[in-house]
Amino acid sequence: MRFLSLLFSLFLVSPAVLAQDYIYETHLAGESTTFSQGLSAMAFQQPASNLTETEISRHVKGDALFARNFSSEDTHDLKGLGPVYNNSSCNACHARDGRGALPIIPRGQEWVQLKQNEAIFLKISIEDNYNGYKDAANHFGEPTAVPGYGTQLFHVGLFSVRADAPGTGQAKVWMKYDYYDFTYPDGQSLKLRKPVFKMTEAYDPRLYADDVRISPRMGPPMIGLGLLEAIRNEDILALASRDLSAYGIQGQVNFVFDIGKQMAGDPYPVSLGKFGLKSNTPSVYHQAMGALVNDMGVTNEAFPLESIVGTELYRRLGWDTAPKIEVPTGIAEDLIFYSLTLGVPNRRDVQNPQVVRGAQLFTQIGCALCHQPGFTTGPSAIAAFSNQKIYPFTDMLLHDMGEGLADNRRDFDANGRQWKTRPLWGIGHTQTINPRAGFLHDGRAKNLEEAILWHGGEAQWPQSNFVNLQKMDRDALILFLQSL
Amino acid sequence: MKAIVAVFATILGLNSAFATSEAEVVQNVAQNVILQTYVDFDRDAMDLQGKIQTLSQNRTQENLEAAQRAWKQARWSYEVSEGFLFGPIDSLGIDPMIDSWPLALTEMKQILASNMDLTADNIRGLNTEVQGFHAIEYILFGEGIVTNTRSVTTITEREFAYLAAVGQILTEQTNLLVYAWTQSHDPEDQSTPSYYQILTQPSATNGHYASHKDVVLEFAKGIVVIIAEASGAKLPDATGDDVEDANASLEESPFSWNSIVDYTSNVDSIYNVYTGSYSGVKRGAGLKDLIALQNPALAQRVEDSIVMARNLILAIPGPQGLSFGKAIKDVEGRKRIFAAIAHLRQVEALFNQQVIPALEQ
Repeated sequence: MRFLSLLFSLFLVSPAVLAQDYIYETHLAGESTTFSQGLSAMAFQQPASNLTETEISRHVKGDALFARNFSSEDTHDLKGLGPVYNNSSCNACHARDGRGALPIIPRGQEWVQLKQNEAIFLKISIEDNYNGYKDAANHFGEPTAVPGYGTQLFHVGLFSVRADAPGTGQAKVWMKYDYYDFTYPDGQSLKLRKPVFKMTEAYDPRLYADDVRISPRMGPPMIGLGLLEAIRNEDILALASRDLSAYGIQGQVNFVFDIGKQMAGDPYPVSLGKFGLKSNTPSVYHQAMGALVNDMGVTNEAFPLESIVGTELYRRLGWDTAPKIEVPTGIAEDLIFYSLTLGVPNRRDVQNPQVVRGAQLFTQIGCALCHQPGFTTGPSAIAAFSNQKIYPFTDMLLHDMGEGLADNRRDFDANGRQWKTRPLWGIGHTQTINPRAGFLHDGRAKNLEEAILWHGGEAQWPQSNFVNLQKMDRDALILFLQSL
Repeated sequence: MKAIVAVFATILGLNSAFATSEAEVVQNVAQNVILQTYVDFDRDAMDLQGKIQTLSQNRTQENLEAAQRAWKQARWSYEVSEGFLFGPIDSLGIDPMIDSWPLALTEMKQILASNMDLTADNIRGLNTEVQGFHAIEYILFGEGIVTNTRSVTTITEREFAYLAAVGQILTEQTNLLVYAWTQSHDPEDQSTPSYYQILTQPSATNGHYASHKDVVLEFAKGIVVIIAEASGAKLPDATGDDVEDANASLEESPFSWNSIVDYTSNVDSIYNVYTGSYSGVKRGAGLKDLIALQNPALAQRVEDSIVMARNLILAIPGPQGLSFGKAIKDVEGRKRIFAAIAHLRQVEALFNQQVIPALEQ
């Protein structure tokens, strides 16, 4: 049996194709790695180990802000919440800087309404004939807004926004699960779930039209973002140019609107996408400022207009349409600095033979082709993040993940079947941080095994290899992931 | 070779004695401190809701005062749980539902002035900043500017309805908390273990905690989180850098003038986990007992330091008996607040630099 297993592995990815220097590595974030013995709910909340004292005190200031609510109350220091939004604090979507969980469906109910305090919301847009050409008229390739709405659906609103549905934003959003049975060749079976969404009480029925596309997005972890930002573009482009056609894999980059470049006066404010579930934002600055104005409705120096300015809903409110900065720039900068400077916890159990076996399988069955283990970072404005050997386990590229995961919604150059390879560092702490946390873009997978089983499209070959492993080897692979 | 070392360790009682202690600490703290705190919190929240109903049916000043006392009792029971803000209180989003602060007062007044039916179903979906403890506090105690009580005759019909609704939502959340700790951590999936089981039966493959040591360390890290929040946000936010910056609306319980009690009970929750105590009685092993195995002097110094933090917070009112909201505007009061903050930072450093490394051994 052992021999058969070995023979099987010979047909898979040869270790020579990819470096396997990660197998015994514990410092996943180089000198920025944080040290926590064992698993901890607080594992993601640590500043990078190699920050200066001044940087740490700034990080700590941002940490306190990250957990606090923005308020609709003008007397509060963190003001500007709304008028419509998805959540009132950063932490509400990124609980303890980790992954979120889907809402609880009360017993006896099929659907549950997304209210405040959920870690998920819907991106929306309409189908268009985008051909890759970017200019100011199409907002440099941004998805096409739903008329009367925008590109994100705000399901929560201040009490005064909707007299007909108090507390609702643009529409109510509901979630239920569809279930799918899955059986391994060895007979073991399990039930997979997929959240599906519907909208009701939309303030404008345009939302219900057939050409509207929706994409659920769950808050991803916050760790190591400054290091990911410091990865050189040319290293990502080099990975995109690899010929992995033998494995059915072709990674692609996303080129996206860059608010930082626009503010600097660049006439073509487009950059390589690095963040967001579809690599749809270029920088932590853009991502964080966008989250402030959209997810929480808090205007800022980068986005000084409320998210729904120009829509009928805003006109009805009668609010001022002039640009305004609700969050003081110093506070926004502290939040961004915090978001950039979280460390990544050290790996555990690297000598455990099962973990080692799982680490080898990770390359052999093809996971490492996209979850490409290592980079050396380029220069960073935060010196600690320059020239670090890191192991995020991502190629930072988009891949077609198959029909099962498709959202059928374009996002800049990413099509409706593509998602960015998620970094895996720290993933073993996920359900210690949040026992209900879900994996994948919409949190559907209740554990790592389910997440692997949902992989399709370009990831079909590694997924099939996983499915065909013996149970003990599947367990070893998951134990390796748990060690990250 | 490894086997021989293990046999020796067993004979000497080193390995097994230490492992047993960690398991004992986990068992005692999880059951007799944390779970007991939550069970009592749930009971006190339901008692508060009962007192609110009695008040609503029989609108006397005595019944208002009974509801105020019940609020303070429930408040104590909750704040004494903040030394362990991990698990369902966090993962099920319970904390923001019951303790979002500051209150969004303007929005709450709009809701009260509207014609929306003030039912729990309608309010549950609104902003968390108009729900929870502080919404109840505002109605029971009034604006908190010149006094921390009100006449029952000033409470409007709609305020009574609002009170009943937010009181009901509070108990839903406390019921959910106890359910997740005792039945299934995921209320949607009855096949999942309770959070109590997750803590007390760690395993390398369950994806939560791999060992009792992990859990012991989590207890210590939970303590650091609340000390950091007290010294980094709760006390300094309202106090500001100088008297002009002081903003009473940022204190934690501004309407009832209960903030000092809130902060004291936070320190009590630290004491409970550290010593394995509950309600002033030692119930079994706490973190202190593990530290004492290595360094009895440090073990005692940490306990003394926690007690000192409590005393410094209790001293904030000073001889005039100032509320926290008044102390932040008083020169001497501010000095006492900053002394408490400075000491809390020392306790935090003690945990980070000495307690956690010792527990990691």
